[in-house]
Amino acid sequence: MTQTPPIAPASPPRKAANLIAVASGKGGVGKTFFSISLATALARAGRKVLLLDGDLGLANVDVQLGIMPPRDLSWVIAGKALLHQVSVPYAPGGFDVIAGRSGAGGLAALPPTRLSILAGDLAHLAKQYDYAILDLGAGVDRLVRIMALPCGTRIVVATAEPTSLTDAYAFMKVSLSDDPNCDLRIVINQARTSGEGDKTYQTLAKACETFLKRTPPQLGTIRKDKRVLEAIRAQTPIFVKHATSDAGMDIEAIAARLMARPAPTE
Amino acid sequence: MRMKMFYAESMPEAIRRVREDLGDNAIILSSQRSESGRGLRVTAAIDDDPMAATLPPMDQPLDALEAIAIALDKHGVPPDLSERLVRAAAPLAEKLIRAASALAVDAPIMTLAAALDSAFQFAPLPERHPGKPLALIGPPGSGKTVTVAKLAARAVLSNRPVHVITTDTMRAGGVDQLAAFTRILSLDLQTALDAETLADALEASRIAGPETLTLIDTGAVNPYDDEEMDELERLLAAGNMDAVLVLPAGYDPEEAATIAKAFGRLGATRLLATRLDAARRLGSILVAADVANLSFCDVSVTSHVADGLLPVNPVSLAKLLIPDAPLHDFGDYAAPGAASPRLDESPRPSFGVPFA
Repeated sequence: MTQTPPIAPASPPRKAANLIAVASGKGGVGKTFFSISLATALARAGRKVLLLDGDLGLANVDVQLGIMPPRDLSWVIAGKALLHQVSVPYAPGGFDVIAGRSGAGGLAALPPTRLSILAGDLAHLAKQYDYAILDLGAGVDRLVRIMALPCGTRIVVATAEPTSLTDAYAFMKVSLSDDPNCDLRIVINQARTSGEGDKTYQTLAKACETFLKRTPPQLGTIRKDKRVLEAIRAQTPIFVKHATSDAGMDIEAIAARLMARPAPTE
Repeated sequence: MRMKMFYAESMPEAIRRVREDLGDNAIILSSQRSESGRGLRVTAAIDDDPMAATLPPMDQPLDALEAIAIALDKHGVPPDLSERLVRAAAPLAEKLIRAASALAVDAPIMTLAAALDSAFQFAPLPERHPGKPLALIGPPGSGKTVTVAKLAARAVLSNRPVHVITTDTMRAGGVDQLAAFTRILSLDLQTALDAETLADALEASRIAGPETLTLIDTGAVNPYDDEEMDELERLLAAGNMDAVLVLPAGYDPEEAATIAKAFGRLGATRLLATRLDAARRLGSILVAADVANLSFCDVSVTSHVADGLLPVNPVSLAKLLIPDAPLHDFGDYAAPGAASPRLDESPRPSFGVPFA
């Protein structure tokens, strides 16, 4: 009857096992910081890594890295370039970056059809890398949900704040509704001690276990560390300045855990 | 999920307060000694919204905003403009969500109308009120002459005196075409060869009184030809008039933007979109009005002189952009009664009345 594609993907984009979504539900819990640090840690371990700023509404990976890439995701959305053409090497971190664009550029208004095409392209591009990390936006709107669909792993970053826990839970709930078999991992950020991080994880895990009948495993805890703020202010990844900081070591452990995992099969 | 922290002297007391506040189905997520050393701090939660009710299925627009984003994309509206419109629509959409009418039938249209109202100006052509002479300008084949004829016919129908002037003397048959229309309407057609004779004609018009609607048909101008544009600029400087850009729908949006800017520099203040019956993508029209800061006035929806000129307001423009089709059927909407398959399956623009 018609050649027009349906509004939502008829079949979800193919999953890429090595594509990792980083989500938080709530903003301001250190999601972008974690994405950048994880990309750096994986690159330091010799992996080929791509970091994509998927926070289509309020992109700021480029700001945290202090780069002004000549092209960004808005070029792809405007149809002026293909996804692989807008990635730029980020030398200090040793990985490639596809920047978003804060404020303007038509990113937030992208309809679901085109979002799912973009998500599919990203899964395809991920094949050229050992790991592709997708820094998702806050919230659980359609945009976040569609972009998360092709991701083989979804890392949820939360802090001990009740609002963060509630929103992280909301993201996991939505994730399990969209993709009942998705691989969810929890990272607790800004924990005073690793023991406190474990407690926060257990709180969140218990809510998932009771209400969602699933217990996403803990991928790690990142301890609160004032050098994180220094690194963000200096617009550099934490490893460049403070490789042996508490937060740096915690993220290194998380990266090691990710790499130790047998490559998931589709 | 609602999560809440409770401070209590003992666990039984904490459980009692959790039940009181969150109900019998609440669970205790964690408990620890309170920071002050006395009593307990208990975190409890309840998830009482069933999953199905909170999550709309993926194949339906989530809300009015998403419906608008889909529609604007279909029309080829460039990303930065559609983003601005979606953002402008957000406050109203939020109110509708709170009023639980986010997907009421016309919620997307009303929300988009609000956004259009804030992003664009709407200035209908004066029909009965005295106004400045209207000069219709535009690229070749945009429908200036037919539009002049339509405006003249509309004024005649409302018993308003009309003065029609044409400067379109270069094109073979340019004057004849308009003369054929003015004869039917029993109107005189005055020809102005250049800025000087146009000034004289306008003076005659002024003397005829403010009730007279003066319409000036101009020759087609190539917006990329500096000489032709200079010539048009001289004509427009011949008197006090309002320049209306006549632009057909269906241009490539970037082309339309360039053309609109060129005519905007010459002083065009309004945009009259034509050929809406023969186009399904109106992105170019929105872009043109946006980049050259033009007010929307009328649109032309047929090539018949006697009708088909409709004033545009935010709501009617929103209806053109979001057709009446159920939104999830956007792709394969067929007009009622459409018997033969159409070339293009895009929805037809509609003012709420079926396009014959």
